[in-house]
Amino acid sequence: MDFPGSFSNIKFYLLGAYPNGPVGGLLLNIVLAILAIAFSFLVGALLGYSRLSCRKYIKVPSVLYIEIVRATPLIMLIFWFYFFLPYVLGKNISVFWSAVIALSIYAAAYEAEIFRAGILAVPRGQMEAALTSGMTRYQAMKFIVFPQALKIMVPSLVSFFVSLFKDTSVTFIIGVIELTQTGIIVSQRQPDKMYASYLCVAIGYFIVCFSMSHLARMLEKKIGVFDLESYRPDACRDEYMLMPTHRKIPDEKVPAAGCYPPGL
Amino acid sequence: MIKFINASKWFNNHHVLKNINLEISKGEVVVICGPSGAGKSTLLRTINRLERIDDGEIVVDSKYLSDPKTNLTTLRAEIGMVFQHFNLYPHKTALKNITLAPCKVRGLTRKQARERALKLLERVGLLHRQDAFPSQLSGGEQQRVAIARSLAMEPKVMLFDEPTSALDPELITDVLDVMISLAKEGMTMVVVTHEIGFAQKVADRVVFMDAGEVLEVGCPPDIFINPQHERTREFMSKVFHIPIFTKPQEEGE
Amino acid sequence: MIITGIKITILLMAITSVTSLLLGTVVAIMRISRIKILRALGTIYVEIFRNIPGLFWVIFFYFIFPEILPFGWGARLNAYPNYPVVAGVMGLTVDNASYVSDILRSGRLAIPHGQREAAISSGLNRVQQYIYVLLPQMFRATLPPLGTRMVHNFKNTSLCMAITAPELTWATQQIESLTFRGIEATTMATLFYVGLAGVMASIIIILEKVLRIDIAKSAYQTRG
Repeated sequence: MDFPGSFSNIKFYLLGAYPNGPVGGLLLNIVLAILAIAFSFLVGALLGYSRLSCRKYIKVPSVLYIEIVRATPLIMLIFWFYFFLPYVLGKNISVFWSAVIALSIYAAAYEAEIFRAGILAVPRGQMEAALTSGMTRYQAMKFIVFPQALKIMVPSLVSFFVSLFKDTSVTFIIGVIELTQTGIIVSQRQPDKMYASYLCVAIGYFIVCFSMSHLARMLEKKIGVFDLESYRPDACRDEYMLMPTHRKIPDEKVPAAGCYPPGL
Repeated sequence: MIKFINASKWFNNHHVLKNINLEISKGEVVVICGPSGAGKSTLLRTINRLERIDDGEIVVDSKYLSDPKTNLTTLRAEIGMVFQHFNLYPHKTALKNITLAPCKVRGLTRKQARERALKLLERVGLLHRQDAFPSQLSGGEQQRVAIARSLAMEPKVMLFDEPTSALDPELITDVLDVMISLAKEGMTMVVVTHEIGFAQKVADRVVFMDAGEVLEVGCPPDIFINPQHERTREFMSKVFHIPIFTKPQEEGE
Repeated sequence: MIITGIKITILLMAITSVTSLLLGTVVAIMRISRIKILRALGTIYVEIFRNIPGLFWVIFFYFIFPEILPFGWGARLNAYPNYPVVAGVMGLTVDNASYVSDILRSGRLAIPHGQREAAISSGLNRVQQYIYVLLPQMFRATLPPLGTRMVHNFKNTSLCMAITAPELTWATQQIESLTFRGIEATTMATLFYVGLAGVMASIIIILEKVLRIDIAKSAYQTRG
């Protein structure tokens, strides 16, 4: 194994052909992950929020979106946007952007779940206290519930970032020249240094993921863990909707089950 | 001020409030007591509609709660509420906890809100703790900040939902002192509590509830010493293992 | 081609679920054992495999693994026509096992101390303690996250297309490039993935209910 030979390519692994060409390598993985998180954040928040609604026409679409995207392999999503987006738009779209879009769509579903769990982790009493002091739902959400939920979400968001970062490696399939692709290209050019090039790829991923997941663990210790799995998917809180439901009092004495609290 | 007319509530098949009829007038201090699971807290929470009733009517400050035209937000601003578990906002200091609602709801300037908050903190004896976060305060201190937070909205009614039952016995007196001084100023108060001593001292009327029903309403000595209802008698004999009530009310209302 | 794809995908999922569960259990036991070296080895395993993408491991086992095997084993493997599937199984297994072991370890921490003590005092030896008392409870306590992991693992089988294992995703891409009827194939494949993931999720929910009743009847109810 001739490591020095392969390490002369180190710039390729880190930056790709950057100064003379497009960004690539490890940096591209990071860029992809950050862009996807940034683009999906708002959509994810909205989805997670509407999943808490008691009103079917708001809840059902978001549940469908989240569950379908979470049940589809990322590769499938990437293919969808790579092959069929140009078909729909009628014009070509660069490999990079179709990867970013697919990753954002993918990330939004997961972020929605993180967001929902974050809101549910804020004790109910907080919302009640805010409402009793005369705040509107919007104010209570903005000043009381959301800041606390955000803090609770931070460790999960960081660990999700790690997982998304790893998932960006999948984009090599449509020819994004990120770290894995770089490794494969270099190893094909220099078959005698195959081990070294794969080792470089592994080290690259490892360093970023290792430090990020330790950051996540540190934050968890500081902020406290909360467990996504312990929240039942049918949990629903009307009180978190900005517009109260003006339902008529039902004729029968038993209020509709499944919605808690019934009314407010 | 507050009027329940045949109010009923169900949790699924569980009838938690059964035809409640009760009227609380301005300036009155009403203590609700009874065994746990009797629906005391639920009754209290229906007043500012944290829980909604399924049948009957509640009128607060001559506004019907079931009326869609009633603005719940503005109504709630007139009703202060103190919770069993304080529910202070953990990400804000004691002072910020108090000033938040006056700024955002009443539209006070920061300075006005701050002045008001400091006055209230002084009143509950916590001026020196104004910059502490809730996690740095003891239970009794937290509850006093919570009371100050409600008072900052200058409410017409104060609701207390078992304000002392999550506190260590030695911290209870501080909280009760604040509540007693409030009662003496003529605040309308509805208090769910097991503190018989408090009820003895300041309550105008005591409501005894069991299994979602109001069984008895009367002035404290009548309910505590001389209950009419079988169930009330049973409960009181359990509460007072030792008959401590040798003398009736000390100092009027 | 689609049918073969589905078959291979299900095969991959079934094999890797079992193997990763086994490997994950072994690593989890290593990580909670008293022997320092085993603990360290387990931790190193998890850190390495969790912090490098699964895709890398799949590719690694396809390209590199045969090269580093001694005595011409590698050449024999390369000659094996189904080697992509085998490499896929190995790659997915090591990746998934790291997650499984992490989940199981957290399950061990959730078991009350008294369980172990009760097992010891009723005279079970170390191995018996694990088999009869600790492991069953670890699996039960961690069923929801384990289930999610298995669904994840099922989705990850699509990574094997990168090494030309003829599974479903690979098949759709072949159809796309051969007949240009990619939309139909991809739609079908997506529906299949979503459907099977849904089925898996509901099986897990049922399993969870069944096992939870079991637990409620036993030790935990009396803890007060």
